Amino acid sequence: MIHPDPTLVDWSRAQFALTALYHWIFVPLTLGLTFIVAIMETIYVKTGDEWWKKTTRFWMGLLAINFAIGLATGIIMEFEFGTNWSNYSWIVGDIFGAPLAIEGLMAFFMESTFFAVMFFGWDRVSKRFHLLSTWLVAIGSNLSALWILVANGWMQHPVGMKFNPDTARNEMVDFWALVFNPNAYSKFLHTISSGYVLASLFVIAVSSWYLLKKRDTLFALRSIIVAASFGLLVSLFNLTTGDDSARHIAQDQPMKLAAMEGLYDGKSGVPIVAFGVLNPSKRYDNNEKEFLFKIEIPDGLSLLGFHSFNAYVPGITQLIRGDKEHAIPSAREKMAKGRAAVTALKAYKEAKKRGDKEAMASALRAFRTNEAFLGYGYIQKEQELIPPVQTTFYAFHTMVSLGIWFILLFLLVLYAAMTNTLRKRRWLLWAGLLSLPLGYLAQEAGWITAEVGRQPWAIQDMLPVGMATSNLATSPVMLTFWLFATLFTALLIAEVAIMTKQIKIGPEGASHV
Amino acid sequence: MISSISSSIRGICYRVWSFYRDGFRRMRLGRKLWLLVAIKLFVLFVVIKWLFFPDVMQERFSNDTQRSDYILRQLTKEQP
Repeated sequence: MIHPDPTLVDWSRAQFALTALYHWIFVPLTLGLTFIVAIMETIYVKTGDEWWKKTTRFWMGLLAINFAIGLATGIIMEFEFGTNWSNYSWIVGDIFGAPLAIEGLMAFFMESTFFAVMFFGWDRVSKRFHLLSTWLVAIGSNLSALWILVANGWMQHPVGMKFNPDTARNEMVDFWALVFNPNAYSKFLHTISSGYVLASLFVIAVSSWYLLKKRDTLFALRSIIVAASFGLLVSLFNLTTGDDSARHIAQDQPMKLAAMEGLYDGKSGVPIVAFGVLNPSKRYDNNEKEFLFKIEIPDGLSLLGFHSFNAYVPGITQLIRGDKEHAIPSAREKMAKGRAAVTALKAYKEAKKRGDKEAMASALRAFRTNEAFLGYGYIQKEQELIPPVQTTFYAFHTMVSLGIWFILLFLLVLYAAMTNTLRKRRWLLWAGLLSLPLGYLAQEAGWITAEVGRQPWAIQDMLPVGMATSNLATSPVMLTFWLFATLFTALLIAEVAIMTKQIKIGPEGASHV
Repeated sequence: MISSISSSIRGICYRVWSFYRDGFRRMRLGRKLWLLVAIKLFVLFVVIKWLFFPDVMQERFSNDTQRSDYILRQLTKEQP
């Protein structure tokens, strides 16, 4: 039996998390700011007001800084796939290759053409062609995100493929099932709309700083009106996509939903925790209370997960021990089926070596019967199937609470800007400024909820992270972890320094970007 | 006819070339950003990728049969 070194697995995980979390500092701002810039330029083209052109160019300059610094930070994850996660990369096969190749090609063509027109084309191409390029950059960069999230959605809910026992790879049998994977779509829409929220917060924060400094007032007020209107609309959309995402999690990843809510004992009509402090002593196999303190909304989780007030939501205990009444198999049953799949795969391999076609066919049938539980065959103890509950719970609740705060902020800021009272309400300007780091916190909390909540799986139910890692020495992974930590921190410092300098110069210096 | 097509293609190519050339020449902050991008790409692809991130499956095995066999041994819990 192969037991992967847990230290290696943890460092590989930590390195991937570090890379993804840092990458995700840069991406959402680009996704959203491209649209805000496109809206501002549309106003310029419609009104012919040169002032809007200056405004567009200022925000476009900040977009350029964020884009340049964030560029290629995601490529490191592909390095990691090949080195730290080579088993995973092989097993995933062309499922990952196709969407990532499309993303790479799209990004290259979009960036080398329309991005260039957007930055170099002022006064060189017609206003309408420039505007078209700006919109195409916005749409194209968001479509790039689609392909990444199609790949990620497949890991959360694998569809459209068949495992080939001869090559040990997943082969795509239905590209459209992969593309229209409901899990991928809900994640894509929720992710990009959260990026729009962050970009709106960014514009509001920078504009609030100008208003607090009593400079560039008209520019700041007009920018705030665009950002708060956009932010409010996309926040409301974000609520609906979050609801859709939760429904898919309830169906495809019930353990993640239980961890998100700290739910150990499932029942019908489960409330949702609006605020709570988890009991650190609680485990699925003891009778401790789940929470030290909580405020609940009755039937909220049943409604969120299944769109029914009285729906049954399984808790961690039911998902581990099973619940016959609700046809939920126990972890042990799944582990037994998983082992049967592993044994059948081994029998298939040995029969193939002997050239025994009949035994091969029989082993393959046995494998296909239990294939859906293959990953459980590598689980040693049932508690390995429980993700870190505290991390998932607090990350989820941080994300949701901040999302609600942002809706309120957009409403207040928009009302104050429209009634021309914003400059007097300095507390609101400070709230606008200080909400920017909260926006980044919400983004990272969202990633943690999605990824930590689905542990121990690299591919849901198919491949646990322990089996996905390469057989490497731990020390190079530790070394590169710190190397990346240093590199990314340097990039972040560069981003903040260059951005701050450009903001201090203000919209007057925008044409010199 | 052919010469007018080829001269118009040359014209388009020149316009595209001058568009990028002038764009790069006019940049101020953009130059710093490009420098940063170039340094970053060098560090990522030349230093980090080359020194620390070999493609394990490519490096350890010479063909796909060997790679499949290795993964199957892992999946069936046999010592490689």
